[in-house]
Amino acid sequence: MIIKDVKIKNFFCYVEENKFEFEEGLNIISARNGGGKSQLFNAFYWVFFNKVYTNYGENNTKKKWKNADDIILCPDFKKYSVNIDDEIETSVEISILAPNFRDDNAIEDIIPYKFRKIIVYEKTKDFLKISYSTGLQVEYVLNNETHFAESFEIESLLNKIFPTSLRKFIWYQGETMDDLYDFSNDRTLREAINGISYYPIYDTLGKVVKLSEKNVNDLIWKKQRKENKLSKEQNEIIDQIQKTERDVESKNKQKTAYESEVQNIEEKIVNIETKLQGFDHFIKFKSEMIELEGKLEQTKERLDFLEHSTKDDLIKKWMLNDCEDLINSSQKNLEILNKEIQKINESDNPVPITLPGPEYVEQMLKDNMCYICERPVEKDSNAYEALKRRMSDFEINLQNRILNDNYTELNRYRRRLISDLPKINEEIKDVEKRKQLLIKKRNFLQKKINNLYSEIGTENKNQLDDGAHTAKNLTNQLKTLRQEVKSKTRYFQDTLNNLNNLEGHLRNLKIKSDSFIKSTDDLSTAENRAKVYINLFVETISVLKEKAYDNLINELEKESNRLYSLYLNGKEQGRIKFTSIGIRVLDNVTGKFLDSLNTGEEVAEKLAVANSFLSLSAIKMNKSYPLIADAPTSDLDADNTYNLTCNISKSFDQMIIMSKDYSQFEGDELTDLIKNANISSFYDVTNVLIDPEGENTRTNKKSLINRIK
Amino acid sequence: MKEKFIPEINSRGVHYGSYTKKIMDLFSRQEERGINVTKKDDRFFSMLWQAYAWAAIIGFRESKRIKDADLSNKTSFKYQTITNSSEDIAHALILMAIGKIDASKSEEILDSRKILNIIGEYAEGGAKHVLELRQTPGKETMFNYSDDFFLEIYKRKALQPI
Repeated sequence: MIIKDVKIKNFFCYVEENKFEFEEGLNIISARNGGGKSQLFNAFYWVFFNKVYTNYGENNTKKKWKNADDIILCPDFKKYSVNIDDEIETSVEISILAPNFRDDNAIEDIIPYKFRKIIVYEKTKDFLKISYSTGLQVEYVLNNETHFAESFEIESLLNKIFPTSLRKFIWYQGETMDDLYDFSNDRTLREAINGISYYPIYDTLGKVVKLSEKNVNDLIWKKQRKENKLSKEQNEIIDQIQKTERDVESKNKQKTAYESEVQNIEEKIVNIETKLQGFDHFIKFKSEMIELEGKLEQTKERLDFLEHSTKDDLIKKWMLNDCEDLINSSQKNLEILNKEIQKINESDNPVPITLPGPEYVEQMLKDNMCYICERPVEKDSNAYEALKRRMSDFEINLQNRILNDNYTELNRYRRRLISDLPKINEEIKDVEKRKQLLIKKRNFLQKKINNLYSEIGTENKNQLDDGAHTAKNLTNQLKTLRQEVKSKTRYFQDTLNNLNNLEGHLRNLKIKSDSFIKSTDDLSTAENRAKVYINLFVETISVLKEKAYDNLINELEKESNRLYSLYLNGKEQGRIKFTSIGIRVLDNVTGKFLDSLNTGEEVAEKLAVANSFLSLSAIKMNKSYPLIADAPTSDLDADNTYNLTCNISKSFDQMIIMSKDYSQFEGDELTDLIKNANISSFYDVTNVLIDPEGENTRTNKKSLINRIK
Repeated sequence: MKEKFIPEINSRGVHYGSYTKKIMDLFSRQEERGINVTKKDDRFFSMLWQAYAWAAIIGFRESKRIKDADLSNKTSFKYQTITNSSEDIAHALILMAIGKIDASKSEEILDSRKILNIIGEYAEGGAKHVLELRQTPGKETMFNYSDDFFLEIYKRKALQPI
C-alpha cells in the first residue's frame, strides 16, 4: 500500500488548502515544534480513525488520544477572522493505492482510494457550531469506474486496508509507543502473527484432520462391532473414546466461547477506555467540585455552629460582662456570714463526740428512757433537761454547718466569677476572629467553585453534571467488565485444564484401541489404510503448526535484528529476542537481558520491531504497508538521527516521517542527507505569521509547506 | 435555716413585673424548647428566663431598681430553670442581689424570697430602662438585631470596637 497524497484544508494550523505528495521510499516532513508535523499525523488519524492526539480540554499539557467529535479542528485564525454566521470548511482527503478490498484473492489488484472527511462550522456569537459533517467518505476506482463505499462497508474496508492487529505498527506515535506494544500478553503477539502470515491456516488444517481421524475411527469400530470382532472390554474402550471425544468437543466449544467472550469484553473495555478519555475533564471537574463543595459545606457548618455557640455563650455567660464589681459587692455581706461562723467556732463545742447522735437522743426523749444506763428519764427531770440541751446543741451545730456550707459555696461562686468574667472580651474577640476567618474561607471557596464552572468553559451546570454522570457510569461499566474478564479468564483456564486432561485420557484410550485394531485387522480395509495416513497427518500438522510459529518468531527476530543493526549502524550491544514476558534485548556475550538501553537503542528497537512485522507481512502475505511515524527520533542526537535516517530508507517500501530533528540540518549537510538517505520527498513546514505586521498570536499563524525535494 | 440556701432558692418560683413581661414578649420566643418555632419567630432569646436574666443584669448594671415593684407574674418558671441552663448567670444574679442587701445578720442575707424579689425589682428596672431606651429617638430598633446584644455587651469594657 502506498500513500499518494494528502490534502488538508483548515485543519488546526493548516489554513486553507495544503497538499503533501508522497513517493515510495522515505518521505520526510521536517518542522520545528509547533510547525505542524503532529497535526499532519492527526489529519491521517482523524480521517481513518476519528481520533486526534491532543491536550485539548485538559488543564495540563499532557497529550492523549481523544475522540475528535468533541474537538474544534479548524484553525484559530479562521475562528477569529470570519464573521458571525459565516461558515468554515475543514476537510482532509487522503489518496492511497491499496489492494482491492472487495476481493481477498486479488491481492495484487492495486486500486486507487480516496478517503475524505469534511466538517463545516458556523460561527455564532460565542462559539463555533458544527453545521454539517460528512463522516468518512471512501471513493475507489474499480474497472475504470469510480465507486463510493457504502457506510456499512467502511468499517470492514478499513480493517482490510489497515488490519487492526497491524495498525499499531503502521501508525508510529513516538510518545505513545510504550502503550501500544504489549507483547507480554501472549494473545497480542498471536493476533499480530495471524495478521501478517498464513499461520491461521494451520489451525484450520488441524481441525480438518482431527475430524477425519474421528470419522475414520468411527467407521472402523462400527464395522468391527458389526462383525463381532471386539471383546466386551474393547467395546467399552470404544464407548469411552466416543464419549470422551464428545466431551472434548463440547469443552472445545466452551473454550472457544470463553475465548471469544473474553475478547469481546476486552474490546468493550478498550472502547470504554477510549470514550473515557474524552470525559477526563468531567471526572476531574467533578472530583474537584465534590471536594470544594464538601469543604464549603463544612465551612458553612462550622460557621453556623460558631454563630450558634456564640449566642449560647452570650446567653450563658457573656451577658455578665463587666459585672465583677456588682458581684464583688456581695463580699461585705458574705463577710457577715463568715464572722458568724468564726464566732461559733471560737466557742467550745458543747457536744462531746463520744455521746450518742441526734437520732439516738431524739428517741430517748420520745421514749423517756436512757438507752445508755437503761433507766427511765422522767419529763422535766434533770436527766430529761440534759437530753433536751443535747438535742438543742445538735440543732445549733447543724445550723452552723449549713451556714458554713452556704458561705463556702457562695464565696466559691464569687471567686470563680471574679476570675472568669474579665476574660469575656478576649473570648468575644477570639470568636469574632475565628468567624471572620471562616467567612473569608467560605467566600474563597465559593469564588473557586464559580471559577471552576467558568474555567470548564460552560455555565451550564447540568451539562457538567451529565458529563460527570456519564463518566461515572462508564467507570462503573469498566469496573464490572474488568471483573467479568477476570472471572471468564478463570473459567477459560479451568476449561483448558479440563480439556488437557480429557485429551490425555483420550490419547491413552486411543493407544489401547490402536493395539486391538491392529491385532484384529491389517491394512486390508480402506478405512484402516486411511487411518494410517490420517494419523500421520494429525501428528505432522501439529508438529508443523508449532514449527511454523517458531519459524515466524524466528523470522520476526531475524528481521528485527537485521533492522536493529541497520538502524544502529552495526553498533548494537545485543540482539532482540521475543520472549513470553515481552520483547527484550539480550546481551551479545552473556545472553542476559539488557535493562538500561540508551534512548537511541530503545527507539531503534521499537522501530525495528514495528518494521519487522510490516516487512514480514509484505513478504508472507504480499501485502505491504507504509510506516507513518510522528517524532520517532525525538530522543536522538544529531548523529543518531542522521544514521537512522540513512539506514531506515533501505528497510521499507514507503515511510513518512514527521520530525523536528531534520531542522538542524541545513545547506550541504541537508543535501548530503537527502542523497545518502535516498529521501524521496522532503518537506520543510514552518509556522509563519499570516499578517507579517500583526501580533505574534496563534490567531495570526499558519503552517507553510515548502517542498525541498 | 434547715435547708441549704442554693437548693432552697432553686425550688422557688421566679416572680416578675409588667416591664419584665414586656421585655419577655419582645425578645423571647413564646414557645419554649423550640416547639412550633417558625422562621418568623426569630427573637433573640429562646427562653423566658433568658430575657428575665438579661433585664436583671441591665438593671443591676444601670442601678435601675424599682423598689417594691409589683411582681405579680408568678407562675412561669422556677429559679432552678436558670441554674440548670447557666450556673454562672444564676449564681451571679444571687451574688449581685446579696450585694444590695443592708444586713447585720446571716438570716437577713440568706433569705431566698427576699433575694428573688431583689432580682425581680432590678429586672423590672432594667426592663423599663430598655423600653425607655427604645423610645429614644434614633434608638427605636435597638435590640431588634442580635448584633445589638453583642455590641452592648462588648462595649461595656472595650476600648476599641470589635
